[in-house]
Amino acid sequence: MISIIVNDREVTVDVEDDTPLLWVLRDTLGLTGTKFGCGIAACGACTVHVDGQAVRACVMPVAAVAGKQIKTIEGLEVDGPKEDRPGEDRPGENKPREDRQLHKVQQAWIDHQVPQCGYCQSGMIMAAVALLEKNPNPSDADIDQNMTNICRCGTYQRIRRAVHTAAKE
Amino acid sequence: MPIRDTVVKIARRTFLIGGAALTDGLVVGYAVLREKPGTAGFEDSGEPGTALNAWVKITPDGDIILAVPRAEMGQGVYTSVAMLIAEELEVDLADIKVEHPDLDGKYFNRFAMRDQTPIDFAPALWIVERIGARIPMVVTGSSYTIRDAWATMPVAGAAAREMLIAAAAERWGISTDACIARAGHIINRTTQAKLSYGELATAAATFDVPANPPLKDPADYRLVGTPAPRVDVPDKVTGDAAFAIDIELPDMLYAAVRPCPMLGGRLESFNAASVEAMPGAVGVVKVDIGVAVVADSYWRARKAVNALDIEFTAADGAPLNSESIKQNYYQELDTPTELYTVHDDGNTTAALNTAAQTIEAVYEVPFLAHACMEPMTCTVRIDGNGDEARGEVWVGSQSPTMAASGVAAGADIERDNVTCHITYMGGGFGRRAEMDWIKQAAQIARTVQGRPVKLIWSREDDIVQDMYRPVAVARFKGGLDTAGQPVAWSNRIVSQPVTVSFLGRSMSGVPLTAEQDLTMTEGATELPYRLGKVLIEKVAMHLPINVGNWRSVGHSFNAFFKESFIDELAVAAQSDPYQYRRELLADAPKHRAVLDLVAERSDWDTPRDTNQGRGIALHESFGTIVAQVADVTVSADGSVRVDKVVCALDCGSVINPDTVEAQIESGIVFGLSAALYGEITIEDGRIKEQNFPQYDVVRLKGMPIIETHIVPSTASPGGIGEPGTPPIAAAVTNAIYDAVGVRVRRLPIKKVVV
Repeated sequence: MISIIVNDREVTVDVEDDTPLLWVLRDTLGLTGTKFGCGIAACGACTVHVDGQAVRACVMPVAAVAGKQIKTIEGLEVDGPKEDRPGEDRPGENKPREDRQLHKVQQAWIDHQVPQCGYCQSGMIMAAVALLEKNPNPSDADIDQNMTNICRCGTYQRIRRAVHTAAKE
Repeated sequence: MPIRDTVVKIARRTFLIGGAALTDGLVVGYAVLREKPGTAGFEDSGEPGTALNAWVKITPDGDIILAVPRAEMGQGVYTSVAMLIAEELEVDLADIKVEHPDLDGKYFNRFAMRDQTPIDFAPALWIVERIGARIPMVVTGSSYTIRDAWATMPVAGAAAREMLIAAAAERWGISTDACIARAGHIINRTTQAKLSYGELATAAATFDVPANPPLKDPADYRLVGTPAPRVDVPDKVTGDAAFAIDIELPDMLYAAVRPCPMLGGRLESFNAASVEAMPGAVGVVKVDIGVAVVADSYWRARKAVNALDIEFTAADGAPLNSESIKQNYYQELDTPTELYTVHDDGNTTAALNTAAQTIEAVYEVPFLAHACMEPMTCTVRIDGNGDEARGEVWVGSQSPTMAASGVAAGADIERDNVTCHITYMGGGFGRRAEMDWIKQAAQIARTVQGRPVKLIWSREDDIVQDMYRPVAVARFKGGLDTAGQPVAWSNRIVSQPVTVSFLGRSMSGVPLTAEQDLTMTEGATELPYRLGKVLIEKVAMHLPINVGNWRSVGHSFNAFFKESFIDELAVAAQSDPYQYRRELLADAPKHRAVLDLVAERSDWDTPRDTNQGRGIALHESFGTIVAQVADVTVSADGSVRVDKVVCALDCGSVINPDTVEAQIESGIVFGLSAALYGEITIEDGRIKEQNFPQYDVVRLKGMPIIETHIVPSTASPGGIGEPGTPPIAAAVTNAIYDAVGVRVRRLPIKKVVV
């Protein structure tokens, strides 16, 4: 049994120690916003925050994050009800869309119509949020250097613009 | 959550098809009946001959729901198709909901299709179109293009609108002419009284669906042609959008597979006992080209299958190697075994012999993988046995018809007994038009009756089991007169026929020969330039390697070949590559206009710095003409950076310009990844590149600035998903030549040897 703190809520999971955090989030807790893309930390689709740092959950054994603060795409919305258990209800899930308060990066992603297929975008957004927390006003070069996630639809140009927009908020 | 979505979808479907629909609301089914295909084999394969385009559903509560039976894989069809309907229905995009109706053969038969199986959505149509174009006898008069949506979706909206008007006129006892539809209401022109669509829906459903409702003049469109926000975007920034990998069902099991690592190899034996005691393991199943483990979680299944003792045997004969395959290609280029003349003006050889100057060049491209961000994933549940056995599948498929066929084949059940639920797709690019992974999932699911099994391929599974873009080699010979104008153009292309390979594994009832398969020469034969005598030949290769439809298919290599060679002719003619093309486009004003626009917007004539270059390319595909100018920098170590790409296009009428821009950028990045890095190598019978970054792609660091400029047009729309891809490789290699004088004739570019 391993205890982790996901989106401000402590949960205990009964899985093998070597289970990657990605599969604990997805299969055990039902938080499927975090995606599987490569399994070797090469594509960034599984990016989540551990103690505020962007990490690739597909190679992070759950035992290594015991007791740590984990944030997923589902925990980004600023008014998510914290009493909900992850896996049963997502923050804000039952509220009409217009009542949900998105994170400024999510809103910028909508404003710039970034997603196409959308599969990589949870990871992209988590990477962007982590970047902005470290560097509130990144240059294009900073974005390019720090965000190494893959998008096969090629949404990169809009990602750059959206990060700049979010930085201005 | 996925479970709830599924439940809701099923309930809505039931509502949609149930008799209650007529009393509880308005459902407009708009169907276009087409001639049945002309060959028995095609028909027997169960593939469609009828199109069902769209439904408009209005509930008594006033919810307006548009059923879009098309696959959303990033190209924005949920939005653009909805826009075409909403325009005529007189509702705002914000006030409608889009649903992907579940595919169920019986549903279609019962609902609308007069015993014909439907063509169920665009990508399937795209496949049929490809086949149709290649076997004219099969689908004569039945070609299906994006223009179909342009022509038919507005009719679906207008038909519903006219029924609502009729209901309002009856209620008010006035003529329909005295009514007008505006923003989800019918308005009495005289009294300005209003009735909402929700209030009118039940009554409207009692009127016949008009066959020829009046349509707006496109000049009056208020929604079509505007950059409307996409309906799928909000769910894609919150993690709520449900892809196949996100499906969760009660009692679900998970499966992981280990495919045979040797191409064409086979499973010799495996020792199930070696993993049966592992935590959570439920079973070990032999599948077509490997072994799967079923467990109570994906990770446990993955660990178990990795630990499994398996013995695979290599294919008979010498193992395949990219090097020997290429040697084979070059032999066939010189001494073809299976040569076809595709276009011959006659006397091309004589014209070459008498030309003032002749130029010859050979180009080469490698195998490529699709590498969709979401590896192939599929959930299947099989219930019952024999004729009564039923299957249900949740999958991101470009073809629900293929998905149903895959389940039927894998579980050995009737295709009509398969219900398909189509999810969002984490990329498609042609890969999800196949059925192999769905069949594999069904082979596994049939061993655990009554429980859904989610098969998730690893990235490695996805790449080694891909259907690759084939290797292609082409030799060009060009003859110029004393003024540098072309008098002869000869092009011999060696490659594998993609549609033959595709049909062979998926629709074996459809006959197609390599001669009929036009994928090898698509983009090579439709030449807008004045080139003198033209000879186009193809040499068909038959290798035991699955090749498939990879975004833009044959155009992906033929545009590179053709636009490189035109550039070489310009150099030989000592002419500017833009001006040279421009002169040769004297008979192609639309192409010339696109070329001029890209030259103007890219400041073509401005000087470049040392080691910087600018290249141009022009290519038409899928009804859309695209020109691109690439600016590159070549470093001292030979590495290439693409700084900027300016793109101009004529895609006819534009439904959503923001989607056009996004798709063009997407196509460019996809082609650029291939041009710079993309290569699947076969070594000793195995696929060498099995994951990122061995199989590398453009990331933010390598992303050029892209500008897109659309030529205004009122013509019918062309495609936008694929046409951005073909020209980029040549634009970049032509720019490299401009920068450092090195002609890159083989992709990927990797590094330039200066």
